[in-house]
Amino acid sequence: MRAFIAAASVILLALTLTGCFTTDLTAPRGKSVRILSQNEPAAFRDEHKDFYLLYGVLPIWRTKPEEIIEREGLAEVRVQTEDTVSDAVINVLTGLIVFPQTVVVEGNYAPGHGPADKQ
Amino acid sequence: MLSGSIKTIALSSILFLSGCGTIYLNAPPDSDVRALPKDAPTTVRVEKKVWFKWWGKYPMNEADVNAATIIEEEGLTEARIRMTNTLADGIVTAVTGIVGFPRRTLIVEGNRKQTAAHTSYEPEAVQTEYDSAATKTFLARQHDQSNGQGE
Repeated sequence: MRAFIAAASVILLALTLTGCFTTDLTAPRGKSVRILSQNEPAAFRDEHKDFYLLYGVLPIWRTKPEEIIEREGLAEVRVQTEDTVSDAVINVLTGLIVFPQTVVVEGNYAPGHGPADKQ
Repeated sequence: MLSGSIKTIALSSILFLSGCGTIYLNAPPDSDVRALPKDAPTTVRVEKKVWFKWWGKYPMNEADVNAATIIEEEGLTEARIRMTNTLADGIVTAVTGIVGFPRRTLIVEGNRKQTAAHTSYEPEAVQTEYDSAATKTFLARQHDQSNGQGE
């Protein structure tokens, strides 16, 4: 019984602390960016892992789509957040201290910003 | 220090409870919704709780995990979207998640179609629709490939 309570406490604590995971889809200032629908084709795709300490209390690394839009010169974008099995595995391997989340940014380039244009 | 068996149970549960809850920050099909900067003024704010079943594997309602649903319902032409797992979500999920129903929060802020009385956010340097050669070539190739697979 004590073992069950201990295990349940660990799980409850972990779940309770899963606060503050946040991903924003915003445009960089001064840019016009269209939000893509789910089925539209996207020439650009970038998958990131966000990392939080203490189950979301302290962000170590947070993907900021706004910065990716700016850096890649995207004119159209959509974002997807996902808790994958690999995220859970990382969580377990780090002793439940590091909590990752997968963020996928997809989009299309603005004129003059495509891979061919950069070459 | 937890004993081996307790640790195994705890870790297995966490793995299960982590789920695969996916949330899409997207727009409705055939729409022209512009993304807003984080500090742009907005007139509409919708906060929706997104529920999953089977520890995050499937959404309770497919429409709820798409920001496009809110954008369409509210008729927004400009929006910024936030997916968050708040402390309240964590507390609720601490109870409901154990039986397989975790919760997240989706927030959409934006503006409806511009009217004379309302001034929407105007970017300083407006870029035109994407039409770069690279993107067009890529999309054409992708289109051809998908057609080829479908045949």
